[in-house]
Amino acid sequence: MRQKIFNVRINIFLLIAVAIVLLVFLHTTGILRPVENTIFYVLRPVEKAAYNAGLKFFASENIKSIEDLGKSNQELQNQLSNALIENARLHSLMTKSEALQQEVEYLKSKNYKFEVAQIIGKSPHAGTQIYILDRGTDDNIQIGMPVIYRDGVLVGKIVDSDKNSSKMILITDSNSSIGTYIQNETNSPGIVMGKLGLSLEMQLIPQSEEIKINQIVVTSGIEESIPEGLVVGQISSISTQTEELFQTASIESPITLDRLQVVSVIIQ
Amino acid sequence: MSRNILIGIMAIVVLVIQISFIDPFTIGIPPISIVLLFLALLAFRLEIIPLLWWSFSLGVVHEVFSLLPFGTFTVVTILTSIALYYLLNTILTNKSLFPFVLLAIVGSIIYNLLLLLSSVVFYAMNSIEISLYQIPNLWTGILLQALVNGVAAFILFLLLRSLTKRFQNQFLVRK
Repeated sequence: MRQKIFNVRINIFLLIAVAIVLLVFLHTTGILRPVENTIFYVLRPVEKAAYNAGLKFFASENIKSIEDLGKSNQELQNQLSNALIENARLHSLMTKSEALQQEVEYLKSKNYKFEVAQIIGKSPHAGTQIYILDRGTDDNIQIGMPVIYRDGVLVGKIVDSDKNSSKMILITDSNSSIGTYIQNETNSPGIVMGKLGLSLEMQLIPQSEEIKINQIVVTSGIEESIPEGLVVGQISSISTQTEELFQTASIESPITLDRLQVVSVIIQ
Repeated sequence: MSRNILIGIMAIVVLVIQISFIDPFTIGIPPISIVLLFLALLAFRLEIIPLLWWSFSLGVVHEVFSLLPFGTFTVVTILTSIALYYLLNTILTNKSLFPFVLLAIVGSIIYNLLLLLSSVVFYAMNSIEISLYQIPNLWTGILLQALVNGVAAFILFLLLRSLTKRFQNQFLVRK
């Protein structure tokens, strides 16, 4: 009688383990690439529809705690009339076609080569602000390229690129750092870092530099693929301590970075 | 056959909703993970062999969207489903409302911890350049997701029981 060395369960565990090892091997050698691309290609339209639905569903919501609302209530009342006008203007600009048109016009004026892409999802890593774009190496998108929105506002850069898709890290992500300068008399240099996916901070600004609130921060062009002059944001507050070598500034982006739909990748 | 097709379609729909509808609009840990809810449902309904194959398939599709080294999501998904299966069959030993809720809660915690661990390990080994877990309120986020998944599992179970007869209470006998 044939003796069973392994029972069925152990056999299946072994089979799964072998399948995983085989899968990793096939991926590493690139044999699996067409299958991965096909999966992405097939899912892309569905993802696009789901992302657009999510944008419509969540875009109008701004969740704040009651405590926060109480604190900002007074300020908001003072700004209400202006905000309503501004809001109406922004809403009219927020249509996809107009945003696209603005981007195209800006990029044409700068003579950049670019690829318009749509965000279709977010990478499944909870701690990051990494979004999936529907354009990849087939469209000349490479790692390190800058991603902008509308009239030249930097929103992120490419961190991964496949045949039909690429991944963009938002500038607010903790892993993001961009070489920048402030548009003042001396073009004060510094590095804009993301803070936990929530905000931006410009660090390493020399103490000798005189900076002011509302000054514009733009890219310095120090990175190979990121051209000079892309708008990052505006200084909203400054932190200066005399004993420190550098001063830091909080930067506010002119756009809501976690509600993007169509973006452009500058491929130069 | 028709059951497998249905599970396959459900798996893709769940994954797309999670990646393109829920995740993009949350900062930090998403408050609900329907992928894990689906995994808990599979562990609740299926035997170990089909469960492993479905976890494998779910993990492989997940890899396409991930920045972690290839295979990580597959291994994490399979380990989570094995943990859930043994939790159900050796500790909870009955298929009813509260075991299902517990599966959803425990599944969320195990899955997030395994992903956190693998992210930390790969970052330390320089296999990835991006630290994937610099999150505000990481632990409360994981806990919140587990609780919300528990509530969602509660509602889902009652809904499924009203729609089908397959979700009646049942004691599990060890073979």
